[in-house]
Amino acid sequence: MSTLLEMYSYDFMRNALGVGVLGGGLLAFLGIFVHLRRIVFLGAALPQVVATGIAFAVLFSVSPLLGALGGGIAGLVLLSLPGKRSHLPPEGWIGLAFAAGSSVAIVLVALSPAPDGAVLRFFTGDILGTTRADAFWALAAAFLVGLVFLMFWSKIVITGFDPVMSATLGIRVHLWNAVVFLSLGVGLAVVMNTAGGMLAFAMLVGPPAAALFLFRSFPAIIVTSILLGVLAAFAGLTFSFLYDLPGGPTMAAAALVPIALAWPIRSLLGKKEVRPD
Amino acid sequence: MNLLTYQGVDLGYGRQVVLRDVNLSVERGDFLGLVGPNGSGKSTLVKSMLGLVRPMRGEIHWEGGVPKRGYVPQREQVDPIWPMRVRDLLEMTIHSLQTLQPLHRKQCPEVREIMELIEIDHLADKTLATLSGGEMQRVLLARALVVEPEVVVLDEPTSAMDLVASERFLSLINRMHEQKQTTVILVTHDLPSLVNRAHRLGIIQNGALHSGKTEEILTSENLSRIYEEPLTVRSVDGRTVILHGASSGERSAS
Repeated sequence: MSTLLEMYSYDFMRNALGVGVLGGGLLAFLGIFVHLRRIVFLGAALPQVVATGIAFAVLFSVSPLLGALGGGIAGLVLLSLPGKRSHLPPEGWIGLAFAAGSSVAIVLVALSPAPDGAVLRFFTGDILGTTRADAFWALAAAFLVGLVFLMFWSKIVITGFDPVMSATLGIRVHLWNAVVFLSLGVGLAVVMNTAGGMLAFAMLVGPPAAALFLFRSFPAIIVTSILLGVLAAFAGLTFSFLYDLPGGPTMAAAALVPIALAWPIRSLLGKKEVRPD
Repeated sequence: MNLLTYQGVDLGYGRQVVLRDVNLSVERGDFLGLVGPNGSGKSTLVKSMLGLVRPMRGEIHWEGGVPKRGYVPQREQVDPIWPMRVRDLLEMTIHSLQTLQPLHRKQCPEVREIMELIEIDHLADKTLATLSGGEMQRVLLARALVVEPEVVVLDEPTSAMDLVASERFLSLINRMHEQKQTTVILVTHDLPSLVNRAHRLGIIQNGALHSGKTEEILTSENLSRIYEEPLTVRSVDGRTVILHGASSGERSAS
């Protein structure tokens, strides 16, 4: 216990914990919709596009957070443009965005006058280099996204579940899709700005996957996913400090542990759903 | 008075016309059956009624403005992975029409009323993933009705059902139509299932819609002309049946 208290007496550890817990919890929440809307590939490609935005920002000496936000929004707009009658399936566009995002970001890094280490931190993540301002932005993003989802919960769920019926009822499906995607862009930007794409994607898919595996009601899934995200951030950061491991990747690995445990837990609880036909 | 009128409407996507010169009228409280083979343009016509496809030519007119419409898709079109109970889905559908989400969970009397009408009250606490195909289709019908629509559009709701489940579901539609006096537009590829139910019929064949009152459309001459094969319409024990073959020759029941 005293080791733990000593560990978190350092400012850099508290800041890292703040970003990890808030950003991780936020992405673990948003990840539920990434799974339910079946856009996990988009969740993989988007961090690469966000990284390009960060690289642009560094190249032109703009705030990396602004670059991340710009990259996230631009990526989501571009990826939502091809309609159903596009010559390429949506996965094709997402694959192109993944390849373009990751390669252009590295080229931009090579062109940047900033020291390599400073730029590379945005790709590999340097959670221990986070500042109090980073933690504040994570808190602001989590609060904002939480408020929007609380205020418009039914619209967001119903438009994701059945866009055709929603459009028939006069609900602006594109608007609510944009709200979900924008929230995703904000969440990814906040986490990637400090912790890198690997942790962001792991938080986006790991905790929600375990929660969806274990439960079949929104309240239980939301609480479980956020708790697992927060726990993974805390456990990963603590382990990385104790055993001198890289912070971001250890937290990312911790975010994937719950899904490995979810299967035996579900079997032990005997939870099985059988559709009659 | 007509609730919905199509006048010389061409429907399609991009430059490709799927249905040409559609003329159709639906009265308030009508039961319109739309029939056609796979790929004939039934879904395009339905989308135009839902406002999802705009006419390339002609006019679609709703008397008194576009009414509130309920839509029942084919059950394959909804994803049961969404972790909702039946009751949650119905309540959220109502809440989705409100500007802001109510902070406190309120009991919606219309949800209970609709669940009783559709006989799904026993499914209220079941999650979507645990429903059978027939149950899911009834839940989707309840969802369409819970917003108290003037028009309910059903897109091949019985396509994946066995004969008994299909007949039970269509009887439910009939009962709902009689009790709530809602205008019903039902799309199917199965003409015989409609002949004793629909007031009006629309048959799509070769990119054209042939529509009118059921008794006008359902004549041996009309059907033989539309389907380009000999068909006979007969009344058996007060029910209309369609038989393959000319009236005087050999035929088999359909």
